[in-house]
Amino acid sequence: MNQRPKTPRRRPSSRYLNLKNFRGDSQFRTWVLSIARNEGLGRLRKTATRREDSLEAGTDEQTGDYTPALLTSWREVPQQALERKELGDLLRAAVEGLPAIYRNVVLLRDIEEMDVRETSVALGITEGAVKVRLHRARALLQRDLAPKLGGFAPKRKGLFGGRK
Amino acid sequence: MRVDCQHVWEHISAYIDGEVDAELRAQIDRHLETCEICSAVLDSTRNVVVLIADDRVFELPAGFSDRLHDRLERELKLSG
Repeated sequence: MNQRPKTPRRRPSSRYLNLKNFRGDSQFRTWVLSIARNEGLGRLRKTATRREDSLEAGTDEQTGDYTPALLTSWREVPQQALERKELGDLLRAAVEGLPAIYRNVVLLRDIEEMDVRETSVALGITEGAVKVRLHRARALLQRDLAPKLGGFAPKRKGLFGGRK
Repeated sequence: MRVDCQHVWEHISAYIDGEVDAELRAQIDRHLETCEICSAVLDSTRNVVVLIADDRVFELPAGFSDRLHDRLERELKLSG
């Protein structure tokens, strides 16, 4: 199948081309991601009809207005359950459904396993904002996923004799 | 001081990452010993974090890394 890119060809950002200017004291990955972020923001600004979300959301310094899913029926879904396609689909949908400011932090911190400093550089936000957004993102994921993941938890052995 | 459930929820992410100070950690640990709800919220949140971090959830398409490097090489050559 033809894998032609969806966006038209354009000259890459001038920053992108200045690899020789890359400073050896920061992670290559952080540097590339910060360029990608700036490129992406530049393109968004050119799309006049698109409303820009504030990068420093007003709720950033507050964390208290959240109620988790209060389920006690499952606590742990073993990673082996990821062999089941539906579980991967659920997890991906949950992450992709997060508001962008939270999704980006989860992608860099929990999935790319970057540290707080690297993430703050890549996203152009403070380290405090990284922590607050990660907290809110995880809380949203827990609230979204907890009611759905029970079916993937191992059956408890107990009153009814456990698994059939 | 005894912390309440809301207080525990506010610090759950930092607790998972080991970023709460010793005093707060001890307070939360004491709360968790007797609060089934918070204990389950902590376990489920930690489990969600572990699951989404698994390589099988967000694996890159086969050949992605090679194509990225080829593209970088090409752009660098073009830029002289």
